[in-house]
Amino acid sequence: MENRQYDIWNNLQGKRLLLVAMSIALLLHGVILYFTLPQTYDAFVHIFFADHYARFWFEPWEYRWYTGFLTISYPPLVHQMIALISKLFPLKVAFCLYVITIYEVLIVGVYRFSKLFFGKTTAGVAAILTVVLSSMVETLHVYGQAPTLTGMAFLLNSLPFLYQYFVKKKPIYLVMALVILAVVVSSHHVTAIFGMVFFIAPTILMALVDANPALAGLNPVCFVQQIVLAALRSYKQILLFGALMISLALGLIFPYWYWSKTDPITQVSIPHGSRDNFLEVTSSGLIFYVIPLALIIALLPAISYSITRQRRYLGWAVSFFLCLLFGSGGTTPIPKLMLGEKAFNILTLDRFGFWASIIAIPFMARFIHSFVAGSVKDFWVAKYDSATHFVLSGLSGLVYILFVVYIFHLASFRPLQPKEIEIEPMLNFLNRDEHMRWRFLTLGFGDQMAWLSTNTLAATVDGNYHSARRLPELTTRPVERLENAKYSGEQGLASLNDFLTYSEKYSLKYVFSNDRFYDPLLYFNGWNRTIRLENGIMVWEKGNISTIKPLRPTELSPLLKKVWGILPVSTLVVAILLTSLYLLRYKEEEYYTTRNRSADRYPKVILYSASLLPLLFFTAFIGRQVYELLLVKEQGTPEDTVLNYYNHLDFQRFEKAFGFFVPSPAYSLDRYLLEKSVTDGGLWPSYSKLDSIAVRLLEKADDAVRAQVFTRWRTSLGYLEKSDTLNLQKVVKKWYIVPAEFKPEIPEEQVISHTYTLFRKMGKRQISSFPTVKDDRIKKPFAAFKQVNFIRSGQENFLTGEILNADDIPVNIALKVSIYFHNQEVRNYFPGSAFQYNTSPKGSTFFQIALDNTRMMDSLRVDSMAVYAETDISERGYLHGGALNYTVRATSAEQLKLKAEYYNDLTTDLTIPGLLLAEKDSSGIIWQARLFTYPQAIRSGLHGSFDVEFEKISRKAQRITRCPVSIYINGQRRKVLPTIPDELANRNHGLQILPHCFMAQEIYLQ
Amino acid sequence: MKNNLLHISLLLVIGACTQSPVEKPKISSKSETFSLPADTLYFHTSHAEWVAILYTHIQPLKLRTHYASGRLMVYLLPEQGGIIEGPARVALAHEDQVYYYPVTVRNSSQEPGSKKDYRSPKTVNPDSALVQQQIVHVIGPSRNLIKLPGAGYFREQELTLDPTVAVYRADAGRPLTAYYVEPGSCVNVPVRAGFKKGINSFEVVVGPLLDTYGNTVADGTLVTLTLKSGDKVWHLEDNLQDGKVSHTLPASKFAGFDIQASVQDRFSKTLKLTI
Repeated sequence: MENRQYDIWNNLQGKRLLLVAMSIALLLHGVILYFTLPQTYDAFVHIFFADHYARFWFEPWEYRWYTGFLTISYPPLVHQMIALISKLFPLKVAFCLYVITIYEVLIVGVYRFSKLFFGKTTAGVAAILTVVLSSMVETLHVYGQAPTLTGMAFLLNSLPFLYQYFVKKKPIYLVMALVILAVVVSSHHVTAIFGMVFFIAPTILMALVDANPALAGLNPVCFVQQIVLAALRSYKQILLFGALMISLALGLIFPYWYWSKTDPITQVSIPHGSRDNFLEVTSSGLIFYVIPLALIIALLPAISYSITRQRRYLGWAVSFFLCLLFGSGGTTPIPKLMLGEKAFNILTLDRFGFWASIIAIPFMARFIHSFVAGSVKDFWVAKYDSATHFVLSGLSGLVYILFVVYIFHLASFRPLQPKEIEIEPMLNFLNRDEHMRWRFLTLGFGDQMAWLSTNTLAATVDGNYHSARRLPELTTRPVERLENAKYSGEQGLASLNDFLTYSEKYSLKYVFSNDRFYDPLLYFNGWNRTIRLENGIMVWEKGNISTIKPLRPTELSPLLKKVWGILPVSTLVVAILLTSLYLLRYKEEEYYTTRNRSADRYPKVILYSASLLPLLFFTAFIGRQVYELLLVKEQGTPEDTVLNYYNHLDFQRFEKAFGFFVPSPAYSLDRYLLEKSVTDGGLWPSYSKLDSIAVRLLEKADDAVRAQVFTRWRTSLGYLEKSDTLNLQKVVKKWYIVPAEFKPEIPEEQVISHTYTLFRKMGKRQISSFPTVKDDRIKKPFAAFKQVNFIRSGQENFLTGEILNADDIPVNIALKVSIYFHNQEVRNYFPGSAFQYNTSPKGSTFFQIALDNTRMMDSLRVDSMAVYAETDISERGYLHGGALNYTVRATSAEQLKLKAEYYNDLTTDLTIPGLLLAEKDSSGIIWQARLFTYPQAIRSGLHGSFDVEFEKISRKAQRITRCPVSIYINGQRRKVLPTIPDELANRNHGLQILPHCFMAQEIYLQ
Repeated sequence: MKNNLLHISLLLVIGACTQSPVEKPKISSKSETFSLPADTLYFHTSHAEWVAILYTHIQPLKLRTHYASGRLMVYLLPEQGGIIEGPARVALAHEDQVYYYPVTVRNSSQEPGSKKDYRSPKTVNPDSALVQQQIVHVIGPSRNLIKLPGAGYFREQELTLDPTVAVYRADAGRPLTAYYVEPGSCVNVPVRAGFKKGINSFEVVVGPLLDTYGNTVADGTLVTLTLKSGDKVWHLEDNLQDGKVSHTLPASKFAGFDIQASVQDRFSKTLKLTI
């Protein structure tokens, strides 16, 4: 009678707690999710997939990313459900509605999963814990991983059915387990695969133990023997379940397996923070281990104690510790050894931590319940008093809530994504003037690039689902996305450079740039700024790019398309119907026939450590964050002073940087900013990020130090290295930088004037949706090749030459070299940065186009070459710089030293002063062309000088004349003009120089 | 069994209920050429309910019908506008049966057309040729080509244009017919330099730059000034404005320099900047 009363109370308490948990989740996550969604990593990717299904349900070919890919590369259920909801609500709302619903299912799943271990009250506590567990909060609000949550929600709901099938041996439980697991398979393949190992196997093991109560008292060896025998006795059940499960997994998402087999992923592994050594890369450790597993770490003594206490938990203990180990990434070599190098480099290991946290929930709930209202509380009250317990539990709860609040605001403290970008101006741009006929690329958008793609039918060469990439330029480099190439170091920028140079190959015509870091790379690769949109996004455009060519989608059987569109959603419908039927007709009160009540007593050491650790851990964590944000002593030592000063400079926090100078009435913030404005600008101060810094103290006294600072800056044109010397002074326990003496250049002029001739193309004169109308057709400007040479220098091959704008208007020139090899193969090559893409009327430019290496070219045997030039009227970019003077000195037969000086006589800054250098021989033949850039801007009316080392190659390189080179301008065959000796180059040791500067100010639209 | 027989019989009855085909109407109009809206087509038919559609080679046009005493009249109302002339088909449809009749359609009234004058190339540069190809045709309000006063629909000829730089219009008042004669390359590069004592500077003027027909070379043309003294070289770039480029060079910096201007591949004589 007493037991029954306890059960009723326990039952009521558990259900109440479950309802409370679901209500809190709805209120908390439901409200916050819409606002955290734009900052998540993956939400927009899933929304993009959902948009695909909303538009083309039965057509898996998605042409908008990577020049096309198949959506069968990801299980579709989640995306299809969001697509269905999006028929009633906007996509973002549909995503939120779906995810919050799944979160509710997940809470129910955790409740039911926890009932496998403990009573309903503990399960209710577990449900509440699910609402605020950091791994859940992070998965939802930081990662936006709807499929992971869906997979886990249904997996947890299936486990009690599976357990009951093995304990009670009733077919209804097998049916229910399989029906719900079918939803898991259709939602998230990774959860389905690893769920079999980490969740289903322990469930079966636990069921076998519970179904054989005699096993409980055996010694470990006998236990193992008996459990193997028990498994053999249940072989029919296990085989039946296994066979049906495999059939479901294969059949339901067969197109996915078909795709995996026929088009396997062969790309270079993309680095992921979850594989880092967390002791070395602490930021990765924080995001991928400490934050999601914070409560698990704090309660590890209690979890470890509980999970190893009973034989029935053996499988769970193994799963838990394995997941915890794998989740630690590259901190130890064990995960790599166990998973194998390939799997280790493909998987994102944080999901193992997520699974560990799920397994730990019932055991954490057990302890928390005991701490709040069980034996642990009794211990504290008995040992001390109820006030102590109250304060301890209150403080522990408070610091944990503060910790959860911190996770919600993680994106504010550590920005994970760029600020939200309004996409309407870009959509209007893409819809206008048939801009959709070309591909676009976003830079500096973060995961919002997927949101832009969702809202347009225009295509981009980039994408946000790297498993589906098949373009060699993307798969051969460890680069996640082009749009965030700067975070992938040299490889990322090299990949981006390829796409910007070979843009014709991909019909890539427009770049939406939200990060000026890339401006120099874009400019020197022939991209022109077209318009700054209302949202601040700069649109860059490349001239003479062909429209998208029709591409044959990857063939897929119509039957597979139908299967993909129908089966996954059917699994959810069937699961809902059968669950309703089960609840009405088959539901039993208890999971197991013999209740397995375990005591909630803990040894003292566990009791103390698990009670105090959360308070200490979270207090320390919050304290450290507060300290880092507010209390860190930035000027405690000379080294710290220098490092923090450069850090503020890097993030353009100039007022804070000014605070590092010795306080003096003679040196105000105003003066600092004025001095800075005179010398500021250029590749180094405006378009770079600090990559590394080292400080060496040259002279050291008690209160004065002279330090040398070596910095390495990452720019889109490559790395820049710099060395500065700073004097530091100690004033009242703080180190300050002594401002360097500033000697400004004072121009003689009061006002500078310059006459520009600007051009404006009138564009279409008839309102028509046709791409060209006869009345609009504008002539293709005239151009002429002055020379074209095929040069071989060791393993390097390139085509050099000079082209003239023979017209009366500025011209944008697109060059392409096609090489016809003996095996009928044709390869195309495009110029990089050694070329002025826009030239003034009658202006000439040198060019150099890199070809394949000698080994490759010789093995393929060149039959002939053709150089194609396409011209178009240009409105901008044809002004290349100020007044240039130089002297050239030969330091050896092959080394030249150029001393150049610019005088900026324009009314705009020369933001990145540059020189286009050509090496000519005595007959005027160009042997090489090189771009040199100077990292410091030159203001109007001021001078800037720099030295350039130049290595001549004409002595060691050879000019290959045996390959016929034909020349085409605007599709018509032309002849190369006769080469004439260059008197000026001959005088300057064979060096001819053209100014080639980047001017950032938009008024001139360069 | 009785029920089965009943059902089979019912099915047979339903299967037997098929519609008898309507006989094809016979056209009674004498000519196959159909002038619209003046002409009416006549058909002999026993059915009154017909839908008539005229398919020209680019447009379907619904025709009016009137049935009286075994004759179907098919016609176009004047307010329905003109048509594209040439071979066409009239379709008569009765429910799912359609019959086609080939006809040649013309507009009853011929409205005056508008002249189209195409020039190619639209932009002419005296550096290459001043010859332009002209094609003229007239197009009516219903988009039909109208015969020119001579024979044929098109007139083609080659025109030699005036070398004077300007924007010309083939048809006065119609900007879309504009064509352009642009200046050619400069013939030579005159340069002069003088010392101005008051400002202690040299005034260097390049120009006027003229093409072979005496036109002023285009604005924006790149003019490069190269100044040399010893191993020092100055490279100044400027864009032409009204045929000229001028530079003020401080004597303190440029005295003793040789100066030469160049445009495209044409070079000026070399001057020495002396006070």
